[in-house]
Amino acid sequence: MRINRHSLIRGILYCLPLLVPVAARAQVISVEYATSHVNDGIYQVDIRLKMRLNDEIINALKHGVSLNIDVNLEVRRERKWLWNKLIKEVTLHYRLQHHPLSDDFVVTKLGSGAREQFNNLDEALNYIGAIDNYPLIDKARLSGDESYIGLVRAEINIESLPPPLQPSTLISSRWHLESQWYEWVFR
Amino acid sequence: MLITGIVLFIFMLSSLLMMSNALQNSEHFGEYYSGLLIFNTLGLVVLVGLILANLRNLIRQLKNKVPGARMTFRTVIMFAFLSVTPVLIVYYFSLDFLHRGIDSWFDVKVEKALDDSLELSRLSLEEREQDILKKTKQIANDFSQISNVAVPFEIDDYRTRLGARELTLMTRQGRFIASSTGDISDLVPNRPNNAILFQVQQGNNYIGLDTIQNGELSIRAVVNVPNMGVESKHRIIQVLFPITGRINELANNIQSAYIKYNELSFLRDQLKFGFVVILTLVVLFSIFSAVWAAFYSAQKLAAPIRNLAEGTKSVAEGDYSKQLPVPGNDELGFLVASFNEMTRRIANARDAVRKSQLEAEAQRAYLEAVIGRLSSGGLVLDQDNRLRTVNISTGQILGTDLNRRLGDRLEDILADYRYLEPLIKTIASYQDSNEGEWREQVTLFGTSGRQILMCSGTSLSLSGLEDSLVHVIVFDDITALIQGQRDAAWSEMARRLAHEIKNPLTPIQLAAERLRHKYLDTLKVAQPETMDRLTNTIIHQVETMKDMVNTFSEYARPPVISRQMVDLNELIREVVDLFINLDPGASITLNLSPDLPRINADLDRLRRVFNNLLKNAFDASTSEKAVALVIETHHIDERGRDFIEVRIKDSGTGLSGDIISNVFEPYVTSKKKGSGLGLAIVKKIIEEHGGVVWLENNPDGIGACAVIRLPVTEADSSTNIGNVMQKDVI
Repeated sequence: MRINRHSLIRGILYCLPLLVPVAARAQVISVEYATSHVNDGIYQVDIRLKMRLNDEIINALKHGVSLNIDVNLEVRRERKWLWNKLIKEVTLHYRLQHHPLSDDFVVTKLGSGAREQFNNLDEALNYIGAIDNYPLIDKARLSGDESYIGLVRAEINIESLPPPLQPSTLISSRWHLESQWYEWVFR
Repeated sequence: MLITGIVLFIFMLSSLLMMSNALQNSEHFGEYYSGLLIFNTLGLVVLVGLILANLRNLIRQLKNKVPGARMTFRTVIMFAFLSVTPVLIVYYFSLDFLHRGIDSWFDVKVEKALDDSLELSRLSLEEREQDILKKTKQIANDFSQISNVAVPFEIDDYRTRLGARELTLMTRQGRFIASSTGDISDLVPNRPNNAILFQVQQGNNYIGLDTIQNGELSIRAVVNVPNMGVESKHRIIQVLFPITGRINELANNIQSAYIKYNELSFLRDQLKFGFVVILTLVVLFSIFSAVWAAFYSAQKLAAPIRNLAEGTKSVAEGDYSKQLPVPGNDELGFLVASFNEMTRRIANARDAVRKSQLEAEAQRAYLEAVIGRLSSGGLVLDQDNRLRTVNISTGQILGTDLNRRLGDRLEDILADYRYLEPLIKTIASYQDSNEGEWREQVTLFGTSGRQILMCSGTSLSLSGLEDSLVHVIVFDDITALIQGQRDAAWSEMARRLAHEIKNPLTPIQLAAERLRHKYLDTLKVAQPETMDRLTNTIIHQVETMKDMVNTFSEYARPPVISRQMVDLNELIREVVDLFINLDPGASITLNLSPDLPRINADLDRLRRVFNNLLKNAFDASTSEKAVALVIETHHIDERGRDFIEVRIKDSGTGLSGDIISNVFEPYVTSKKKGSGLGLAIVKKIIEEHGGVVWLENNPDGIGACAVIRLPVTEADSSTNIGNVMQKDVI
């Protein structure tokens, strides 16, 4: 569906026999549900993500490595004979860091700069995974005659990891955390 | 190829720099690190591909023994060795330094110090937190006595006394009741997150370090307001204390240093691996680039030499048009330019030689054409007396084709052509005497009769030739010319003589007859007899003189020929019959050719010719022996000349050498009788018919032989006889 540079690189690397099957990674980040509703002429989405980090990532996080988590949102118009046309594409960027002085986890919304502090990792992940009333698209942009779908996916942004770590992420699947695309229909 | 290589080189160099930069500071190109890594790996693969392609080409060239291939190979090996060896040494030591260097960054003491300082910060802050918690609890107790309505009036005072940045009273669910802040930019009070609220709702107080306020550290305390006062609802208060000034700065520094160090320590192995990867990429990139550059340089270096080799080969094969591209201003360029100049000069010289050769050939052809058309004969002899050149007229004059004898010595030619002896001897005598130019008249006695040649010769020294001295002999057949002059002189003399003599003869004869008639009868006895005898003698002698004069007149008379087709055999038989009757004892043998063609001639004149010749033969044979004549006729077709030869052999004494050459001239005779005009008239008539006649002694030494050659001409070509005759004479 959406091909970015990193996917391409990874696609090349998947050819290597070192990598574990994709199915093994599917459970780590997943979209529990996503739904949209109209509020004041704007389609707002509520999303629940379920995220569970493996020990390697948690270890890196606690050793000062900050983790960027991207939530990709797309609105597409369904077409019968061609692929669905992309209407809008939004990515929400979150950064998760460990704060050694307070031993807290800090989540920063990179778009707005808002920071939230959590005592433990699960709370931080739950915070990231609970997106409520996010204004995705004006209702006016969607034609009543057509049907539209929304797509959401979350992944750990490998490219934002420190460069020394990147070569090992290329050959190790433990860093490749991403959910399947979750699809819902605009009503 | 070169541009591809250079572009790849630049891109790879840039990407390696970017990778190195990213590894040291992730803010620069950090997100492209993986892409750069892949790109560089692929670039190396392309470089290896380029090198392999070059290597394959080189091996193919070596197999095909292409000029310059071995030199290219040696240069590549040398370049590669010179570049790879130091790079590998540097690589080895760099790896060592890299490991040592990175390991030396991390020190247990430093790590411990950082841990301790972080711990110290924590302890210091915790102490402050406890103090603040305690104060907050007191305020909570105070607030339990203040109703929600009164709180706004009190809360500022409490905050100021506490020294807090923000003091907020809210319900346990997080709904704000009242708030006071020292920072006027904070319009909305800070709300504790759900986890804190949940903790407080459980009846626990919260104290913690807050890091989210504008990068400044602050202590957040959230405490339950005792539920025993004026308000029945559960309330909580939140106090935010800023950690200001030096403590904040130090704590932040310690934290960021700790994070950085911790991260680096955690990524130590990956960092080493990253540096090793970059270093390896750089080394491989350098080596491959150097090897590829070695290929390129070697080929560039060998190209002019290969061109030179090909050019030299072309020149060796005779292609002087080859011009090589000049590679530059260096020594090699000078060499190639010199080669080009050399081939250009050789080509020019060759063209000049070819041109002069063509000119010489044209000149030679022209000269040959001119000499060939000359009526004079020409011979060229070299120093060894060998025949080098003969023109066409020589063959026609000498009656033999000397062209077939080119390269033969004159002595050898003489052995085959004895009649050329006077000519060859004359030439030899002048050659021996080494005289410059000479001129002499030579008389030949060939099969076609006597020939008088006017020869002139000279020695020429040809520059540039080994056998430089050649003798050029030019000769003309002046037989006809001299004969013509003689004939003309004789004719003139005969005509004048006849005229002068004939006039007084008739009066003498008449006078003698009258004398006889008038005085014969008057004379005494015996006197008339004397008178009669004397006058008769006068009259007879005058008659004889008249005959002689008539003969002279006839000789001098211009030829009036009445031609008809004549069968010579028949004519000869007719004349022979006449002579047989005159002398029945004579033996005349006729060997007449049966296929003799008829010729276009004046029958009466030819009859006279044979009469004269037979008479001559009879006269020559009148000795003790009986007359024995042999008459032969032949039809001869020699070198395209068709003629009839008549040979009349007598059995007389033959002719002496001095007479034989002039026997056909008037008044040349060996006989006691005769006018001396018989053979002259024969010759005149034969020449009028375009023929030749000569006398020669028989080979057996008995008698002489008169030879007549008459051309066979067509009946209607009589008018051309003069031309034909002239041609034969020449």
